[in-house]
Amino acid sequence: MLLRVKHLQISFRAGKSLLAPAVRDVSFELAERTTLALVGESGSGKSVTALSILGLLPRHLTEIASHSSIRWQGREVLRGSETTLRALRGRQMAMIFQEPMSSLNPVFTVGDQLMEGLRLHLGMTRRQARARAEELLEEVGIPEPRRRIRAYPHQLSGGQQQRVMIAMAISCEPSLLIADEPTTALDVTIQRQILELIANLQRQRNMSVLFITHDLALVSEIASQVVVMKQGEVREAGPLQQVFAAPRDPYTRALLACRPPLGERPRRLRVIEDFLGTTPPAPMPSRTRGSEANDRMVLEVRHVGKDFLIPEGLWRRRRFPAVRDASFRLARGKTVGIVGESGSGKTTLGLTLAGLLQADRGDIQFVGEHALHPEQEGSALRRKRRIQIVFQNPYASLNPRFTVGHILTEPLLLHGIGGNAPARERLARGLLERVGLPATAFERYPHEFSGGQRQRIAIARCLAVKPDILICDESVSALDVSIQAQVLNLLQDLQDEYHMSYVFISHDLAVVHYMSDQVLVMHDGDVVEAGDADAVFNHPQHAYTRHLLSAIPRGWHP
Amino acid sequence: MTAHFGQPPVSPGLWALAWQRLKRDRVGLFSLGVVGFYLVVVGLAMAGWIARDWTQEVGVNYAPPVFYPLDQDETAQLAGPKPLPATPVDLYGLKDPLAGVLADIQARYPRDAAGRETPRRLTLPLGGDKWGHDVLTKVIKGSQTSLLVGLVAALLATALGTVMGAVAGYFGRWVDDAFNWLYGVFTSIPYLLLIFAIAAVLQQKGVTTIVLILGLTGWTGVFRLIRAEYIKHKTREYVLAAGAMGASHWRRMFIHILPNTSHVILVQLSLNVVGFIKSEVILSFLGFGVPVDVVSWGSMLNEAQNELILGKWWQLAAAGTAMAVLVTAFSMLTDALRDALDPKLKN
Repeated sequence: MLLRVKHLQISFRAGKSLLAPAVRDVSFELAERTTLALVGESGSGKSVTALSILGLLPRHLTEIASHSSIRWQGREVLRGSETTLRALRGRQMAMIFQEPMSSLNPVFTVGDQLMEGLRLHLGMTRRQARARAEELLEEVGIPEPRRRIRAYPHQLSGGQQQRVMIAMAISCEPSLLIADEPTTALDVTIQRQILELIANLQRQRNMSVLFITHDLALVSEIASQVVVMKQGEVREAGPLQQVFAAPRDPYTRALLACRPPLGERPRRLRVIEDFLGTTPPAPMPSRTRGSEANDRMVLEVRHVGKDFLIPEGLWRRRRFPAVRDASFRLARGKTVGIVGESGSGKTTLGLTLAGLLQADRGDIQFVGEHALHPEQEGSALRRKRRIQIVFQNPYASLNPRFTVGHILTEPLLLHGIGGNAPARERLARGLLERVGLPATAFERYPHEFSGGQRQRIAIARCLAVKPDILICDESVSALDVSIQAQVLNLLQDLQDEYHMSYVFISHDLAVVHYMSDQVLVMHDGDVVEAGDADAVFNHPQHAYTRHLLSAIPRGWHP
Repeated sequence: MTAHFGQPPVSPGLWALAWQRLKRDRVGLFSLGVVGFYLVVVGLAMAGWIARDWTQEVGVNYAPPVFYPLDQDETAQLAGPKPLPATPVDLYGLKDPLAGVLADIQARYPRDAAGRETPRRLTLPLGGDKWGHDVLTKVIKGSQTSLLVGLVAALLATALGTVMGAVAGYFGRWVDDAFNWLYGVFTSIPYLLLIFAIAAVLQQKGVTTIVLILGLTGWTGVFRLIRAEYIKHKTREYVLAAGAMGASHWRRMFIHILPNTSHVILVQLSLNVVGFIKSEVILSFLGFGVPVDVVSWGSMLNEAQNELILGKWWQLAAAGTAMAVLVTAFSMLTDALRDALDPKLKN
């Protein structure tokens, strides 16, 4: 057995007091040449566990219980000295992290950073290290390694940066590679490439991999052993087959069920509460989506384009078209989904629709009203009442210095809804109730809420002005899958109740498919394919759409 | 982070949290106490309850402090020469035309048996200056001037810097360029030279002048930091959300963003107070400062340079200590405030 973790219990210190354990009684084993996935949502303790294996947790801030044990090839490492740990790190175990950009030092070339480990651990000369670094870059699939060895991290794309990180990790031929959410920050097509790279390296080099992720669909593609964690505890562990085919723990069952499935479209997504009862949840009726003949249009977008000016040299500026030409029609009570990878222009299009950016070309027309020339027909303020936006990051989209009550009453005040302060407060409390938050939230500050709750507050703020159209710009991307399902259900309920139209922007194809009647596929600022959601997902016409769809992790299939 | 719905409904605001953190910082709390003490003393002095009659020549010239060991010779020397016996003057029957005035003056300033004015004290609590002014009351009165100049000028400079930084950072483009040009001009001139230039142009000695000089030159640091904060915040999603809701530019700048930069503003304000107290001292020391009928720590230090040659060190010690203690306490308080208000360090 390569690695044996037993009864691991870790608590953090805050000042003089000891907090509740972040990891409680975690035990698992990792054999040679296997891939074990540590799965869990945020706060599950999966990263803390990985860091403790490497001895990377700050010792003065952590308290590891005395009965805990981590054995590496039979030797105890938990209470090893810093010197033995350092010899172990890099040589025997290596780690790659989520954010390749911040894991690489921006002031050194990738070659320097690769060669450092080789010279320190393997005692190579400069020349030997350089030759080896080139080989490694070639092995992880970086084109022209002789030239790229002199590149700085910012000159590489995100996927290439992660490849360099992997090259550094495998440079000393470790027996264990720990990968902490290595693909979470990457686009779906790049994710596919990195996964394949890790799988290939694992086979060729006879490594073991400890793969940490929140995404169960990924796990089924790469791992042979699965450990499911929640709030510091192991909820379920076993071979992939067993965990996916016959999950015993309700939490695992819920995790498997709460991601929107690609093939069908249930009326509501499963949430964890559905699985906590003794009886298995009843089958969910499905929902049909797609455009219909009697749709009433609320928004028409014709040939909209938006350029950004990029400074070039000292004086000149270059026009960069973020959105080249986008057209679509949005019907009342329907959803248009916009998918694309980073840099495809989907967010720029969303901001332009919301009126936060001015379009350079084209025409955005509300029914009976020109959005681009609001001064002609009604004020800009009236237009803002009709279209609202929910942003991606629920931690950034609420003003930290405002109470939730202040956040919710402000749009009412700006648009003169409700008349006086007590009436506005009543309306705001009603909104809180509608999005499923307790009335006591009114006096609280955003920092006291979790990500999902904050996103509910952001949705309530939009509802305050009763918009016709709600733009959701990656609104559920930052949330854990179980929370994501709850927020998606809320959005569905609100659409059913108020007949709002959604523009649903996301890089997550499964979520877009689940939410949308129509789908726009964007690539490099262009709409490459548009149509009914089911048509686009089942019979993609454009090569890029096919490429994108083939990269989605398909989940477990027996 | 999870919400705790079991807690009482009213949650601590960010200021309450900051106060909780400050309370845990012993050094910060002690500094706060020292600064508070100064403020109370200055308040009392402004109300006229203490140190009102600092111009009274209560002691002998260069009266030493009470704890100064005086020997016989020095006491005799300080007491001055014995008054001469009164010499009878024959007026040859004429009537002194000024006798009435003289009697009036003598009635107003009664003399002791030896024919001297009210006896001046040989020692004073912290000594006396060249004219016999009490140094203790001078220090208190000087604190009033210095602290007032420091606070008002810092408020002015911080307000200027904040508004300009907010406008420049928020609007960007040519507005930003214009303000940056102004910033460049002000920071390219050596600080003291700039102060002297403005002092020479204003041609007027007075507390208001000093406040104006310091306020008009001291905004640059605040401007730079607030501008950066606004550039950072204006693209944050909560500001975009406010824009999508229809909030005006003014509302986004001063209702949404400003509270999120308040920690920077507060720390800059207190840094400026410290800096301006020192600047006032320098100005007064160099003779550009307060007029002769006003006392400040700077003017005291200015007098002290001549006294020091004669070995009369107490005025220098008193003014220097008062300033050093306040500036140190204020700086440490600023440090503690920065830690307490920094949202990044939230527990």
